[in-house]
Amino acid sequence: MIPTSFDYVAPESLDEAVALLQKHGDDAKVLTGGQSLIPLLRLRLARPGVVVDLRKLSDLGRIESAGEALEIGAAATHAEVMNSAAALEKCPLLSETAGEIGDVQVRNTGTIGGSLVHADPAADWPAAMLALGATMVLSGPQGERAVAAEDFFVGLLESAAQPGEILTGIRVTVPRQPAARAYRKLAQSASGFALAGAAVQLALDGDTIAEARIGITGVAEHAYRPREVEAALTGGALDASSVETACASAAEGVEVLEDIHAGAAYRGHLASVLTKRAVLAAIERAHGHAS
Amino acid sequence: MKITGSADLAPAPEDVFPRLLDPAVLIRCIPGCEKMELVSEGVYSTLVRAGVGPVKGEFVGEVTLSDVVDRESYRMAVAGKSAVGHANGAATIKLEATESGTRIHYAGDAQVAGLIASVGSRLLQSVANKIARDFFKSLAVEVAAESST
Repeated sequence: MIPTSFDYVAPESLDEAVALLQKHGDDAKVLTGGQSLIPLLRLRLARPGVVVDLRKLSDLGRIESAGEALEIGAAATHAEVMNSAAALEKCPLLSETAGEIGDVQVRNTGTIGGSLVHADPAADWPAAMLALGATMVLSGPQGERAVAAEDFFVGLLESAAQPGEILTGIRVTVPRQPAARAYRKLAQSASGFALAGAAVQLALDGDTIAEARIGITGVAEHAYRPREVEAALTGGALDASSVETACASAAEGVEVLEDIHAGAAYRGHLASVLTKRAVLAAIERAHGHAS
Repeated sequence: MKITGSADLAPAPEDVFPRLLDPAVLIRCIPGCEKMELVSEGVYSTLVRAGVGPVKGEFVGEVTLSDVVDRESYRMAVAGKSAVGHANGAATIKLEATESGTRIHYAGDAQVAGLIASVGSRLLQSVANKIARDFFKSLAVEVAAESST
């Protein structure tokens, strides 16, 4: 199908891009990889008057180590994150999550920033962002502001990025060591989107979990941290039955989504099962064997 | 697609009920509603601009209220058309007097067809629930403001 007509602008600088968004407000949409926007345009579900293409801003795609942190440009593709040596070394949960997104074409074209701002309730990145305690850096007419991942996903297809703001980068602090991590999802087979997915970042201390951060996607209107599970895991043992008990409340207190692919009860159950599997996989990987 | 739930409001049913049938109140409480005109007994013509994230649709349609039992219950049928699909639905709304005011119970069934149904099925239920919740949230603010003046 053919989109409704729109103006196309490809600014040369970030300032210019922000000014364009400021001028057109809600009528403008930002394009980076186009994996969400282009299908919406073609179906005429989205009908923006102006498309602002950020692909000339080459700095926006950088992935850089900055001391104890990793700075990921918002226009880095999923594949670039997946293959980044810095990400793999400092924060392998990023590489693992990137590898689970969509298919090869989506990973080669779609961008981490585009996915985050689109805030699809079943996207993979939000789970990893929550588990890593990442910070989103937004540029707008008032300059730069930083938003914690927990405050960034606010609703169905709704992020904290305001019209007129551009997500420029994601800052991830290197996780506390010795660390363990894993991402587990059950993908809807046609779309690759998660029916449910759990990203887990643990800090281990001998035979116990010193710290647990978890992000769950696909289950609620936006990705969330199951605080009860995190608290139950913290200080807990590494064996399968302790972990399973702790993960049972992964969808507690959450209004669980349902659609023709998965009812609410099933989805809630998946949240617990996938969280448990992710925690156990993380531990097994860190120890080199099942405990 | 079922849409059910309840909402608590501070005023008593006799104060809440007339507001539920007042086009001026409805236009302020229905998310994205830009027009709500009485065309004949119990029938309103509406224009609603609804959107989720980047997806926006303009629905033109009719709302029909029937089986109105003052202070207690009524039935609402909705039919809307847009370039991105059609929506039809009917709901029963019941008011119950509680110690703190009024509890409204709503139970409806909606059918969505066309483009939004074929590509958006994953999100439709949550969008429908959100619209219902936002409506009663706005209504709570509305009736609280009116009863305090």
